Amino acid sequence: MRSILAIARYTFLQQFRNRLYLVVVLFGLLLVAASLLFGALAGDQEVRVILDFGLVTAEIFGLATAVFGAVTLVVEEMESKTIYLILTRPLPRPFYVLGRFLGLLLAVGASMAVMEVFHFSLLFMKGWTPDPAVFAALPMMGLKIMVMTALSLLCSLTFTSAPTATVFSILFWVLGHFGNEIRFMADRAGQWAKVAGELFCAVLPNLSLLNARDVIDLPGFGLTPLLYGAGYALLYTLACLALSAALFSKKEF
Amino acid sequence: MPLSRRSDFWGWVLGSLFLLLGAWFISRKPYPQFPPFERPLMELYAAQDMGMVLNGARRLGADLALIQLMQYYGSAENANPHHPRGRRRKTVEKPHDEDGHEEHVHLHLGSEGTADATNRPFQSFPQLLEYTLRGGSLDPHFHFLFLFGSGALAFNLNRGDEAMTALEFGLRGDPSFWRYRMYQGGIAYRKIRKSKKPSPT
Amino acid sequence: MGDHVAAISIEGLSKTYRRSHLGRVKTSLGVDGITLSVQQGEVFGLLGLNGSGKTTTIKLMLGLLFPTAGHVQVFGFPAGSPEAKRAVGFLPEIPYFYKYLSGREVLRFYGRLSGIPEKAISARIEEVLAQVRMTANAGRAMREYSKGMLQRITLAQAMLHDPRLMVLDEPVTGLDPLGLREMREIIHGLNQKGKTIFFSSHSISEVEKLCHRVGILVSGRLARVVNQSEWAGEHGRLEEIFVSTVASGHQKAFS
Repeated sequence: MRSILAIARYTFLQQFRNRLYLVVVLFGLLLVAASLLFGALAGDQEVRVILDFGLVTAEIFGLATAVFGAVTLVVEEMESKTIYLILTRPLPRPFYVLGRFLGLLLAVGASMAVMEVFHFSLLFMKGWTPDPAVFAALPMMGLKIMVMTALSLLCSLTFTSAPTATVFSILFWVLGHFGNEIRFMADRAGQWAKVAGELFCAVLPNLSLLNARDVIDLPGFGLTPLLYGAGYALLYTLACLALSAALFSKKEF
Repeated sequence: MPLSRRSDFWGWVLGSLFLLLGAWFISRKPYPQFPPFERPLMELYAAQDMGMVLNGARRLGADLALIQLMQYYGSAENANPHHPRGRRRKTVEKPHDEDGHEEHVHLHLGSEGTADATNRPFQSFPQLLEYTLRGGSLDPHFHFLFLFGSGALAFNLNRGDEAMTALEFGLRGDPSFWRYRMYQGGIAYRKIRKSKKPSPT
Repeated sequence: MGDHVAAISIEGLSKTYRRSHLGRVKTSLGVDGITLSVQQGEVFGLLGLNGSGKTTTIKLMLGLLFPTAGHVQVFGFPAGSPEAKRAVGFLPEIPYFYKYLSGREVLRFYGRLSGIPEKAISARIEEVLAQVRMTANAGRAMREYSKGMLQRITLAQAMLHDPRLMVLDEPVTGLDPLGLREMREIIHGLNQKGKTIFFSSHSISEVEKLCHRVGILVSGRLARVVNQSEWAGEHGRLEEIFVSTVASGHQKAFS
């Protein structure tokens, strides 16, 4: 356990000392501030626009730090061989994967938290009345990014090149939001297409299930679907980590 | 690879498959979601709308659609249909249903061969309905958008039929929102009053 | 584990590298059929030309590579197992560290990974820094270190958890004469404390001075193991043995 936390701690520090990470966070903060401009254009819906814009910005930049972090951490570490002195320690290989994941998640979570604190201060400034549904959507955003962090880590272990791992991570993000549409089209295309579509969607992360910030006004939004979403996120993340552990266990250096 | 490592590897793979199966079962449970996004309704904004859908930001996409609608509605060029710099934006021609499915809203958005593909070339804000429906297709629960668009169409531009089309679209997305019915009633009442007014002799 | 257990036991060890590119699989031999035993308390040197398989052998011992055939045991435990790794301290040929960390922070990190109790870590770090004479510079970031300082910190992390076996990959490469002497003294001191030392090197003179036995690798095969008695007292004798072994090894390969 100590070794997992040690790796997590140094992963977290490694991210924060990376200039590119700080630039991404700063850019995210600027874009959240830019939501005020968009809000001004929306008349009576100013607060709604600032709310939506800020949430999406925090999530997108959380994704960017997760993907960038996972790819640079693992791929660059293996290329630079700093991993030698870690793997020659009495540390089971899955612990390394878990430690890296936790450290990265902490760094991404911290960046999203900073953006959201700033975002909510802007909202309160604009006279927003706190809505419990919005606060319930925030952890779901975090869970979505947790799934993407695990998936990005898996991609970086699967593909030896950083650009390939990045592209595939983004592809999973996009396809993960398009699952309902894929099912819709597969249903209309015939029985075999329906089965193939279902299999495809089972492998893809169902990010619509975690997209609470988009559906806070919809009927049926409540604790039960949020709990289902949390359970799904946890299981999918563990599946990715298990597969990452499998891949890492047979890697040679 | 040594046998112990091989068994470790397959152990982890089987474990991950088991977890994935569990995740799949949970994903089959009902959860609130937008209806599937079939196609962008305005070619000019197709890339923007698809970008929003693919990033799970349909609500934000609808917000931006509202801003663009308000910019369109607030533009003097679009108010004056004969303005030389008036913008004519292409719309996507929606095909007729062959099976007569009731869920589809039939929009006769234009005939082939015209420069801007609308059949209302000399109206103010000819594409106000399209802008409204475009935003509504992204977020069917965006009440303000439907009320704004239908209100402008019915009470400012005297295009009650288009306003009703927008409200019907809104009702499909959220049948429980009573203000749509109220607006429909107001539009119908206005139409009846107009038809009962004696014509000047 | 008793003293009768070999520190390193290698039986029929082979490693073939397989690289696939656009559907084609290329194989290259790393090591082939190495059988070797290193006793506890011994200083064993591995000599060989570039590409002879020295680093491959070391990586197989550490669990960084997996053998194609044969096996390696460290104090009776399979190589790469947590028990084996606990007993080994590794000094890589080229040290790779996180540049933004200081020497102390690096040692603390590796100390935690090695399972040293939190209460004992700080004292152990200072002890090891004193042994490698890096106490004064341990607070500086690694990116500011010279080659010699990096080598000392690398040695410090290898010694941190007080392992019974030290595996050193080219420990004297790139060191100046003073650095060479210091490294030699440290290695000798560790052996005096009962540590088993296994190191690979190009430098025949250093191997001569330190080792009890020397293994000579030629094209991935263990061509010969030479006892200290065979070169002791005769200046340049080990070099002659090495050159003749390499030459005959290449002749066998060509025939």
